[in-house]
Amino acid sequence: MKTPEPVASRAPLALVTGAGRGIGRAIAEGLMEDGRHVIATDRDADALDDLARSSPGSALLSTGVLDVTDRAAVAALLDRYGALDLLVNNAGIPGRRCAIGTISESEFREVLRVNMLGIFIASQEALRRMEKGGAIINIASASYLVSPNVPHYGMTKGAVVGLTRSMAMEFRRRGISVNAIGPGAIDTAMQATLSDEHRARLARAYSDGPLPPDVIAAAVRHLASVEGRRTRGQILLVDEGTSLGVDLW
Amino acid sequence: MVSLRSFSLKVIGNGSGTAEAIAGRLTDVHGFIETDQGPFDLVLIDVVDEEEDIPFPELSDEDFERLYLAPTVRLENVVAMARTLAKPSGSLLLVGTDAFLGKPESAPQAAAAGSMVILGRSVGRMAPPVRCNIILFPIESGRRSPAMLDDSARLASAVAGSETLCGLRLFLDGAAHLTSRHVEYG
Repeated sequence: MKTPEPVASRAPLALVTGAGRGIGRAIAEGLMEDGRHVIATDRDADALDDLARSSPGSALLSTGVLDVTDRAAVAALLDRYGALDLLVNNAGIPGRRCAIGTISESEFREVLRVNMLGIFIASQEALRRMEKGGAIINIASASYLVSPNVPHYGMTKGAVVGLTRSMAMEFRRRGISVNAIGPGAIDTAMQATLSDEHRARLARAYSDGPLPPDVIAAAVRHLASVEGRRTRGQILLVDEGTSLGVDLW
Repeated sequence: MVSLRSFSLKVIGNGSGTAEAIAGRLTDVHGFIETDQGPFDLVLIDVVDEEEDIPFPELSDEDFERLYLAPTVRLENVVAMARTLAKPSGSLLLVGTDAFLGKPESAPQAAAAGSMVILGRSVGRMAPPVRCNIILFPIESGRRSPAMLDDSARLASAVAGSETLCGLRLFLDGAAHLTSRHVEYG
């Protein structure tokens, strides 16, 4: 098999997973605006093509079709680049909306693999390329607080919280910040899967309906900044306060 | 005259002995009756935790499977079953650890503890709701003591007799969860 050519870039390198659309795409675009060279990955090649075509900062954009649970593929992709400065673990799937005990083991494992094993693999491979420090930002969800309607998804997001805290402790002295962001309802394709009643409830809860993906990108850009990297091991809820009143943990 | 109510108890353990030790105290001291005949007032569940320090860079995919994925699949299974075993007025009590607060070299266990916390908090709001609480031991076995088992039996007795306690994380660590932790690591 032919080895891909290495990619040289003077801009600080950022890997964004699940960057083909929605929150991940907004993050990728925002980071390019900050002058970062973004490696945007997704399982969906068409979505990446669309990102590449529409991106005004395409000189700072590389794309790669990637399954984050495939360690060899993640390593091979990153081997094409130099030292990594930032990893945004955004790839994730919601899984089926169902009660506990009504999901098959294979379905649950798929949610766990993408949402957790993917973060584990991408983080480990990224850390091996962050010898001069860096930042890791995990996209969790406000549903990490309590998640009776999508418990399997919620379980993976609760896991992201524990993982983020442990990694933040372990890599604090290596100059690597690890944080998480908990988006509330965001205006993405996932909203289309909700019932009319649920969408109406969200419209009432938020001042102008579900938030645009840009608000999550803004939080990522802050945590990725020099100043933001002094924050460690935190879960930043970006939900217009709709979680207020819930016991935080 | 005060009559003491006797609670029925079901234990689902992982062989570590923790759930069994708590159950022993509940039956010996607090008047619980351990039985296989449901539905139960209290279902005590201890299925997840395993202490094993492995630096994050050295974790293998197999470690992640063993320490996070497999226990979490098992937890979901067991809690789903336990909901059907409890009385409508009954309680589930999950035995977990404080690892969700973070611990260096224990990332998969921290993830597993995080999944347990969100599941425990969510069960009380599922339909039909079953009260569910979580008692948390230190992840480090060296920090555990028999007094913690005594206290966990007291807490178990309290939640079994309560109509309002739900979604709580009950730390059995002498306030260690209120101290800054692992800042010297590295």
